[in-house]
Amino acid sequence: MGATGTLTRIGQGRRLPKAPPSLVGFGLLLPAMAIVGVFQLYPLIRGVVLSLRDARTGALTAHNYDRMLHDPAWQAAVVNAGKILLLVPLFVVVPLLLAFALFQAFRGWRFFRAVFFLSWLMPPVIVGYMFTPLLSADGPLHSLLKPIGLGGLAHDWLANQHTALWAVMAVFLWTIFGLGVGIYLAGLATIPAHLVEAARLDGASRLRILRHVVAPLLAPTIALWSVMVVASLLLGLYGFIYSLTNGGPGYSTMTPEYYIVSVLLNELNPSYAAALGTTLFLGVFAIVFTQMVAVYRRVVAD
Amino acid sequence: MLLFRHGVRRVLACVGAVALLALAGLAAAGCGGSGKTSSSTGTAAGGHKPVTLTLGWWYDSKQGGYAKLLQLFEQKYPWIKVDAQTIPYNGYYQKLGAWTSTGSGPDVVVLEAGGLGAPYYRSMRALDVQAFRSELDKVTDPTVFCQDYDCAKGLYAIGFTRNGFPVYYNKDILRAAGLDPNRPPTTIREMAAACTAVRKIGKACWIIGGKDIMLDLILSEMGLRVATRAQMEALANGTAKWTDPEFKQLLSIVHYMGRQGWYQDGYVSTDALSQPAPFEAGKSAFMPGGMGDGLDWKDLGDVMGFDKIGVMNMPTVTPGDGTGATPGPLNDSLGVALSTSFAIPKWSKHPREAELLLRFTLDESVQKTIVAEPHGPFPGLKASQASWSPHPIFGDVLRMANDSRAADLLTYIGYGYLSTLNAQLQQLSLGQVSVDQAAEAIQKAADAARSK
Repeated sequence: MGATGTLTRIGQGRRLPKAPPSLVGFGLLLPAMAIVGVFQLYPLIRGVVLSLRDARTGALTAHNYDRMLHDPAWQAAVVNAGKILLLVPLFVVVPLLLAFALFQAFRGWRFFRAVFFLSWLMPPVIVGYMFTPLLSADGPLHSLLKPIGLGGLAHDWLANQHTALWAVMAVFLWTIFGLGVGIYLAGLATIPAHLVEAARLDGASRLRILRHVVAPLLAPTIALWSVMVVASLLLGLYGFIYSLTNGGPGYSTMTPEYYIVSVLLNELNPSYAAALGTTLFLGVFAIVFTQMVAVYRRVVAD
Repeated sequence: MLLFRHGVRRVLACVGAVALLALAGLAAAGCGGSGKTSSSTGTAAGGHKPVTLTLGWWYDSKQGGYAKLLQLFEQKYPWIKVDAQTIPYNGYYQKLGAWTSTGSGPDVVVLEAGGLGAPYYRSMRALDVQAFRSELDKVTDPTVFCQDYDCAKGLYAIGFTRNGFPVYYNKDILRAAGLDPNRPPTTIREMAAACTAVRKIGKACWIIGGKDIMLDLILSEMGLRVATRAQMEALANGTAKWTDPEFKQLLSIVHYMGRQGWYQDGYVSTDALSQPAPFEAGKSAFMPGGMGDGLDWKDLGDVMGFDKIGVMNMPTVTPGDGTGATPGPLNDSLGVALSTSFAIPKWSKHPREAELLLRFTLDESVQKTIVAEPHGPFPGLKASQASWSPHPIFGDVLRMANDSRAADLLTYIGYGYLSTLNAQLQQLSLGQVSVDQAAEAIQKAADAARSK
């Protein structure tokens, strides 16, 4: 009898007690849970606790949340966040159209793909400082628009309370659309070519192909990009605002995240900043969670 | 047993030999180390251990007067190397806030007098005023020093420069506009007329970086036009309010300056660091700037020529000038306070070496050398220092500094609600809010900052 036989005999004769499957699964999850607990849940809970402390005495209080309700700067920031979210469709559609155009594989499309993506690789602060003179009243944009009769469009976009937010958004769109194009192109590559070809042979226009063939098949990608756009719009504008407007004129470009950092570092008030941060987190969580549920239902239904 | 004894002896002999070898090795290493230190620093004979002192500030540490300060310090104390971390001024206090929040950062930091630096004092080591007395007496007026730093409450920083915000002007543009460059406008009424003349020749009147801090600095200097020192102190400690008449008058001055079109187009999206270039290029007649802390006479003179620039006080209020303000007793004063000051944070790993740097900044010969440097700072602590620079404008700036009778408003109130202040001043100067609305909003922010 060889060694294999001996092992088999031992295995048959002395069975090790079997752990319940749930316990094994839990054990395997433990390292990941520990990491999540230490690096995500603990700071989150600590932030919530800090938000309920008085900055001077450390006593438990709801004062920070009360102040938030009456803080004009925060209110302006929340209104601005609402305005910004109205632009989500634009941020979703523009890269989709460009990706679809590139997907036609016209001559030199790879060059444009690379160029589009380059803007996303630039640090937001650099982009901001690059665009500041472009958007000023005496900047190069002004010089270009005036001779072609579009002088009316040339004014100081960042210095006007009615245009500053949209100017910042335009700069952000310029920065991020390349990433969207890249993600859409990856999604488009998974669409079976024969479906597009069949639609084309049936005489469908490019727009109809995009609307009735490509868009439905691309739904999970569009949904993913939408979630990324919402999160970026609410949590990723700090560098742009810092370099372009500093939140002004007045509060016209103040966003919740920018205001939180301002409260933390200018006012040196971590408790209030934590209250604002907790509120922002809950807001973003609610929006993204709703989006995710909608996406999941759509995917399951499809 | 004998065998055992023999074994013990062998073991002892081996241990002894190893110990001797180790000692010899240590001695050799020590000698080698000493020689190496000596050759690199030249002072190891004094028994000093090489130290790297980290410094957080907003200055260029590679060139200019502040770089010279560090270079001279390292020459005097060759075992100390200063590793300076430069943070732009408009982000410096944010960074200092982050350092104090985490309790870690550079061994030495810079901050400013009054309310600007005060929020950070609790994170700084208290300094012994008496121990610094002899150095302070040589280069500064101790009364002025302790007025800015309130020595009775404890000294937390050593002031190196005094700073205020005068207005620089381009003499050529004034001449071209039909104005006398040797008699610049001194009142708001005269300035309004000068701005009209300057705009007629296609130039901007004032150039300012209103995106971040310049509107706050203008407000701060204009505070003296209507408020007394006691009123500014009261505003800082909460017994006076922004809705009080004198501070509403101050806001109405800012409103007036903006609505009269004194500033260049797009001033609210221009940051302070971008402000000097158009002035130096001759696109505007006036520019508010510092005294020796950047955007100052030396920077401008280096580019434009020292004979081309003049310096003047902020314009004063006169009855019926359109601002709706009534002149206060300090109307013609320029607010000046100790600016760049060196402090040792509690987290400093090298407090002894840090204190050496603080003392070094008070050395008169060091200050004199630095003033002579291009982009050199402006200690400006005694009127007798006028001979330190060949340029007459230095004497003008020094005289203005020494004629000052109070600090500017920001020195009293600090930066606790600067973001709100800046936002309201932008809106006010653009005419988007009324004086009453701005006063209410700023007061709310001040209350919130105080309740923190």
